[in-house]
This record gives sequence, C-alpha cells and structure tokens, in this order.
Amino acid sequence: MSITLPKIKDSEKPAVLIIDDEVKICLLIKTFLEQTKLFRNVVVAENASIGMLKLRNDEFDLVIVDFQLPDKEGTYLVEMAKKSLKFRKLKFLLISGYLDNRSMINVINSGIKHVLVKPFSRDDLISKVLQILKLG
Amino acid sequence: MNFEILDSLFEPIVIVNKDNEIVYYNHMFSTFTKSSPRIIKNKKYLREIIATSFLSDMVELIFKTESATISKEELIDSLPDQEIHVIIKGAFLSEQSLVMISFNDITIEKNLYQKYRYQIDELKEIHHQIVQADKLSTIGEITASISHEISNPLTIASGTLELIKALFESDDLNSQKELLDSCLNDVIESFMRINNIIKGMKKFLHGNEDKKEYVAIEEIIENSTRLVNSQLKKSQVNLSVKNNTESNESIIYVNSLKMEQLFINLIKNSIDSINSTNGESDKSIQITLNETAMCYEILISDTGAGIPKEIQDKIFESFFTTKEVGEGTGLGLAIATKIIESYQGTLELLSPIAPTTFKITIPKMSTLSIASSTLNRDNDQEMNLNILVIDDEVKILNLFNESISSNNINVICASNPTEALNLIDDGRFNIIFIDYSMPEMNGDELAKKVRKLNYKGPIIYLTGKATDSKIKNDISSGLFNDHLLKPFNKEDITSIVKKWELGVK
Amino acid sequence: MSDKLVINITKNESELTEFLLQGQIDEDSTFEEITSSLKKKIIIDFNEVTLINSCGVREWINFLENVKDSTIIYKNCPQVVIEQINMVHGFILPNTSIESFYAPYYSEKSDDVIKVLLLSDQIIDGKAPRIEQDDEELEFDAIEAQYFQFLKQKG
Repeated sequence: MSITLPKIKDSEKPAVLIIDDEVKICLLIKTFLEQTKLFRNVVVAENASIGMLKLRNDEFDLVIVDFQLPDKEGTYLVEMAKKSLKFRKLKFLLISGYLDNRSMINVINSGIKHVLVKPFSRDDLISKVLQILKLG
Repeated sequence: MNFEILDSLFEPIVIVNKDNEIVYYNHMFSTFTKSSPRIIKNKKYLREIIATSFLSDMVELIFKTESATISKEELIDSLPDQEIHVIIKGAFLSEQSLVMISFNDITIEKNLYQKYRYQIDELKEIHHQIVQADKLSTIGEITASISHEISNPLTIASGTLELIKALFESDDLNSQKELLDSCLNDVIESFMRINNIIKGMKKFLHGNEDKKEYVAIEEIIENSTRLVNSQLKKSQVNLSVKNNTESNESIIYVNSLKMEQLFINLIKNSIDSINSTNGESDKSIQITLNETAMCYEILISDTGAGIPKEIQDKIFESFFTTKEVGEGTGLGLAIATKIIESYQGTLELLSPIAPTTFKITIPKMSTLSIASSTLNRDNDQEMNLNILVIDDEVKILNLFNESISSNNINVICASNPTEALNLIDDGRFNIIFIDYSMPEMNGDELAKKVRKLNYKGPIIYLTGKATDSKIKNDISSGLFNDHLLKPFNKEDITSIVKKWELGVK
Repeated sequence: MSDKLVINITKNESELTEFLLQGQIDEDSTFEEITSSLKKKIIIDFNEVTLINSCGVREWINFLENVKDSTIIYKNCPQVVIEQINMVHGFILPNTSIESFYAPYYSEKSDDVIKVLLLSDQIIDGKAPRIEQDDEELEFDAIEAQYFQFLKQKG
C-alpha cells in the first residue's frame, strides 16, 4: 500500500457499513478495510432494507452505499438517515458505475458530498474513507 | 367488312393479309407509329412500318395455325425516336383470311416500375439508416445500465488483482493457496461477464446482417445495366463493358442486391453528369473490370461534366447533392461507400474529369469469406471446423455455404487453384473439398500440390463420375480420401462432413 | 431527369396571368406556380412542351381541380399534347378552351413536315384549313376526324 496509515487508538476506531447488491464487491471492500486494521467493525448488506436494519441494530460512522440498489436508490437511504436524529453524524460514501445528468442532480440534492466511481483502486478507496472520517 | 368501327378504339390496330400487306389500320395506329396516312400510303407491307422480326414471325404463325395468340413483352425500337415496350395480340379473321393485330403499349408502366423500384430501394436504405441511428440513440440511453453492469465485474477484477498482489507480498504464500485460487477464479469470471455484455451489445447493433452469397461480378454488372437501360437510351448514352480478367466468372461473396444498388447509383450519376453537359460530343460510359492478386477492381468512367475541385471531398458525404429537390436524395455515394466498406472494399474518385472515373475495389471471394467467418466465430465453442471448398461454380459454393455454415463450422471458398493453394499455406483447414474438373488444373494435380503443402487432413473430390479402380488406387495412395458424386444436395454434404468430422476429432 | 418541367410567368396583369411551360409533363410534374396565381383568367402557353405522357395527363387533370374557378386558355399546343387531349377526357372542362395549336402539314417541295399554328376558330366542320406556303398548297398530314376530335369536346 502506498498510503501512510495513521495510528488510531482501539477505542476510537470507526465502524463501517457496506451496502452493494454485488456480494463480491462488498467482500472486496471489507477485505481492503480490514487489512488496514483501522476499523473496529466492518459489516455488509446486500440491499437498502437490510442496510436500514443493520443501521438500527448497531453503531456506524460511515456507510459506503452503491447508487443502484435492487430495492431503492442509494440516495434514499441517505435521505432517510438525515431525517433521524440518531444518524445526524453518519457519513456517507456513494459508489457508482455510472452517473448521468439526471441522477447526478438526485445525488446533489440528497446532500451526499462524497462519490467514488467504479472501478476504483484500493488506494483510492482507503484515502477517500480516511478523508471522509477525517483520519490521518 | 366495315373496319371503320376500329377507329373508335384507343388501341392501335392493323390488319394484314397473308403477304404482310396492310389492308386496314385504325386512327390510333397512325398516332402510335407516328406515321401519317401519307406515309402509310406509300408503304405496302407492315414490316416497312414496324420492322421487328417477332411481329412478322407472329403473323406467320397465326396464318399457319389459324388461331389467336398473344406475345410476351417485346421491344419495338425501329420506330423513329422511340423505344416502345408492347404486348401484341393477334386474331385470325377466318372469313376474310386476314390477321388483326392490336398493340398494348406498356412502356410507361415499365419505366415507372424501374423508377419506383430504385426509389423504394433508396427509401429502404434511408429507413435502415434511420433505424440504425435510432438504435444508436437507444444504445446511448441504455449506456447507463450497461455501464453499471460492466463496472461491477471490472471493480471485482481490479480489486481482486490488488488482493492477489498483496497476497504475493505476504510471507507465507502456501497457506494462502486456496484464497489465491478463488481470487483468480473471480478475476476470470469477471472478465467473462464483461465479454458477454459486450457480445450482447454487438448483436443488437448488427442485428440484421444482410444475407451474402457467392456471385459473379459480371452478373451483377449485367443486371445493373439492364435496370438503367431505358435511362441510357433516353439520354442516348452508350455504355460498354470491358472485362480484363482471365475468367468470365469473377466470384465475390456479397449481397448481390446491394452491389447492384451500388452500380446503379454510380451509373445514374454518370448519366446525369453527361446530360448536364448539353454537348453533342461523345456520350458514353465505360465499365472496366480488372483483377489484382488480392482484389477485383471496377472502373466506371463517363464523358460527363466532371467534378469540380471544391466539392471533390464532399461528394461522399450523406445528404450532399448538387441536384434539384426531388431529383436525388444526396445519399447515393454515401450509401455506395457504406455498402462497399461493409465488404472490406473501397470506393474512390480516381479522376475528376475527362473522363470522370470512379474506382471500386473489392477483395476476392476467398479473402472475404475468411474475414466473414472470423468475425462470426463463436470463441466459446470448443470445436471450430474449418472447411475449404475449391470449385469454380457459384451454385456449388452457395450450396456448401448454406448447408454447413454455422457457429462452429467455417466454410471458406476458393474458385481457382492458385487462390486455394495460397490459403492452404497457412495451415488452418480440417477438411478440403476439390472440384475434380476445373479448367486450370484437374483434381489430382491439385490434390498432389495440396499434399505437398503438408496438409494431412481428408481431401474429398467433387466429381461427376466415379471410376472405381481409379478411386481405389488414389484412396490407398493417400492422395484423396473420399468423393462426392454430382449432383449432390444439402443432406449429402452434411453427412459426408459428419463422417470426416469425427476423423478430425 | 434533364427535361423536367419548368413553368415561367410571361405576363402578369391584374386579372390575368400567362404561363410558359417548358420541358416534359410527366409523373414528376407539379403545377404550384399556376395554382398559386389565383387569377380569374389563366393563359397557358404549351409552345415548349416536348412530351406529355399518360402520367402527365393524370397530373394535369388533378391540377385542373385546383383552378376550377378560373378561366383557362391553352395556346400553342404541340402535336403531342393534342394527341393526348384527344385520348383523355378531363382536359377540356367548362372553364377551359384551346385557343391555338399546331397541326402537321406536309410540303412536297421540301419533302418535310411543317408544324403550322392554327386557331381553333379556323376549323370548320372538322376540316383542316387550306394552308399555302411558297406558292405551294400544303397537305394536312394527319387524320382529320381524329386530330380535331378535341373540338367536339365541350367539357
């Protein structure tokens, strides 16, 4: 890895939820994140409903969500979370294969500030995540 | 008998006796033949007015058989300034021993047919182009979901490769063997997914590939010139064809209707160019057929007005035209270029004036059929059978192509031995069929040459007769392995291929 | 293709427009220039019409539908046009008339057929008028009963 990883105390390590309908992508991202040893918990979900369930059952600092999910668009999750006090501090990273003009507008309107376009490299992913969580 | 009643008919009618003398003619006949009573008065015989032989033959026949008859479509070009297409009906008047002939002028129908057939073909082409354009915009619309589809397997593949790289950097590689294995499978599977997505797109875009067949250029030229014949006559343009190739059958693998359209477009342009000169001098179009080692070349020259420098680059563009509205869509050369390029050929302006010459090149049949089968090959199929057919008869080549061409069987054809030997040289064939009686070389000679090139697979003769003893000898000597008796049909071909296909496996 | 019909205005007055037709009248011919004129009296000069076929006649008859309210006068009709008019009904209507036309006359002296311009009024009882040229009486070179048929049509 060409990125310098910061040192984080165990108690401060963040938790990440990954939602993508492509299981292999979820596992890939999970493996990359776990290899850095910077996260206390990395959980995967294959659609928006399961993602919402997991969000309610546990504490997360970051949600990495695919734009095109089988049941809902990724932005829906973001909008739902914004309405709830519990998820006030939750950060989102949208990953997507293709965004045309119309969907870009939806993304902007939902308040998502961070987008990663597929395919991305491991380094791209890690540095983006670190940037969003303001680590290192 | 009072024939005056015939004057009230709109059909030209003339009545002759056994000696071909005109006994009576109606008013319409005078108009039809553009001969006033003064002129007809001076002539005794019908053949002096209408000089065509089929007419006198028909009259003779009616007198002989004493029964009515109707001709097929015939051409009368002996009348001043006109070329008329007619159907003639003759009736026998038994009482007076006379024959009554009436003419049905179908010239206009025929001209209209040719005219509208061309326009409809052009419309079809435009429609096809619009459908294509529409397809392309649809592609644009589904790009979103396709991009998503491809991006996932691409992400998996690239991400997994990074994992693999990391694994290699770890100390204990052996314990990771299983993981490595599954990673590699993931990568391979991802790329196959991407491949399938792209294949699907390609199929959609190129949905209706036109049916191609083996056909001789000479036949295409003949058909095309026949279709524009009335326009040539009308503009008094002389068209000549010069064939500089060795044989009379220069075979190519194309869709013949599209090629005819190509030639018609070019010839019509030439006619228009000549008409615009208003000159008295030489009005002619010359079509020349040449051949090189790899291609056929067709030159179309005319003595027309030429193409000015300013527009020489533009003439091949879609919708560029110098003609009036309604006289041409401007798609002629653009369409022609598309057609020829789809056969890996070229169309260029060789000389802009005196004479204006366009040059068409088209690869010889063998080259084209290899290219075509390469593009259509399904790489997923385990077994790709390559079959070479060497025969100079267009019918047989098409028969082979239609009976066994499929996703995993490629039929390559050659119409002469030299071409064939060039193809065999790069060693790709599983079965070779040889026509025993070709003009340049007989089957045995060719088979010997083929064996010399180290081809060890089965050689099958296509022959009209089978001499048992000769066959036994040749088979045992290994020169050839089997034979197919002419005439043969599709079933014969499929079963003999099946028989030898197992041997190849 | 090269002999396409061309229509030009040769006279334009308040109540009348005269058109000159050049070229051939066939399936491709259109007559917008005439239909858009909307004058009470329309004169059509056929002097330079080279050919008219049955498709052209059809187009012409359709065109006449659009000028029903005007008076149409045909002048200088060539032989080919007269021959068509004689064969097809619909050319002559209540609002149309033929003022002048060409008829073929033969000159024995020059052994040639001359197209002589005649006025419809000159034809009496369907007989070709006597024409003299260079002290020679020319011979009418068509069939009278057939050629002057159109004069019998009243539309």
